[in-house]
Amino acid sequence: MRHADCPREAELLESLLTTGPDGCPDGLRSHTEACASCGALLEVALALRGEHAASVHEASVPSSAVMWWRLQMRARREATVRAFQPIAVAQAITLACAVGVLAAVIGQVVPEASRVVAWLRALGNSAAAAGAASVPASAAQLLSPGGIALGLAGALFLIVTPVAIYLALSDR
Amino acid sequence: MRDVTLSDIDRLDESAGERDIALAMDEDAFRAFYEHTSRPVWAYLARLTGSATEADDLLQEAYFRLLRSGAGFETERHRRQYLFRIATNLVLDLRRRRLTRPEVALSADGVDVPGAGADARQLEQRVFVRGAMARIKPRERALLWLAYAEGASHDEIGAALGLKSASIRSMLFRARRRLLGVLRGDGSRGGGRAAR
Repeated sequence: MRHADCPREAELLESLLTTGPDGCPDGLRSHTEACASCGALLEVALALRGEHAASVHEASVPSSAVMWWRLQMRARREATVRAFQPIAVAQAITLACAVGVLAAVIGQVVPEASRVVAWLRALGNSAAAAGAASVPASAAQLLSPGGIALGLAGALFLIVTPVAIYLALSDR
Repeated sequence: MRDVTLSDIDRLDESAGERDIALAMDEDAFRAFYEHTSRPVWAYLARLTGSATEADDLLQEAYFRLLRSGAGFETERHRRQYLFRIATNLVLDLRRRRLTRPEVALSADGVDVPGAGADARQLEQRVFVRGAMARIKPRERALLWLAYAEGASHDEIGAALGLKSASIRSMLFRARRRLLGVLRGDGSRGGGRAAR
């Protein structure tokens, strides 16, 4: 698309911006009446200048003091968030380590746990058979290293879970 | 695991306040600059978005980004130019996020109905101009506003819109022709569809 703007458009626009339509020199005014391109510019520019003046007059912007205060508050809030990021990362790493340890302990204990389950089953069977004499021996098995590890894993789980929930739900 | 206490939070808040609020201007300079630019920038945002509420939100965001940019400016004119560029980008981002939302709602609570005080003829004229602006493409709207409402040079328009200065002239001509077509009620030249 070719455009055929007039070389006097810049002069016309400058005149409109500085003095307004009434301040146009007579020569420019008569040129604008004859030139289609300058006439189009005048029509559009007058419409937009009028709208601009009205919009600027109507604009209800906050005062500079209020805006400065808002921007300060926002900058401070963002700086605080940034300052907390390393702590959040450290907490996440610590939690991940704790979960890893818990998983390792459970992994060690699972074979022992199956033995405990087998013992409980035998205990039930023997109780059903009214043979209470075998119970003390089986109870001793529960105090074996495997049984203690299982207890420790359970205790660790009970400690870590509330901490994890706290970290997940806390705001800061 | 280390617990974070209230005193830790207070200390961090204080240190953040001292070290990290690195704004590009001091208060006096900002306030002077804001007094000169806030209303034109708001008007620009309002015309581009078609919403006073969005213009309010974007105005604060524009100044915040300006202050956080850390850019040095040779003159206030450059700073102002950069502010308009930020404002333009904010509007483009907003448009990308809300592609399905009509940009201009000619409603009583928006900017598209001029406020009280204008006489009936002025009011009618302004609604007409706003409606015409809403019907051209957003980039054309920005071009025309910067050129004819703000009186920006081609270089300044190019900087504000991220366009080459050499292409501004022809783009401006086309935009002007399109707006004129809408103003004169010529749908074939003005583009009969609402710009999105």
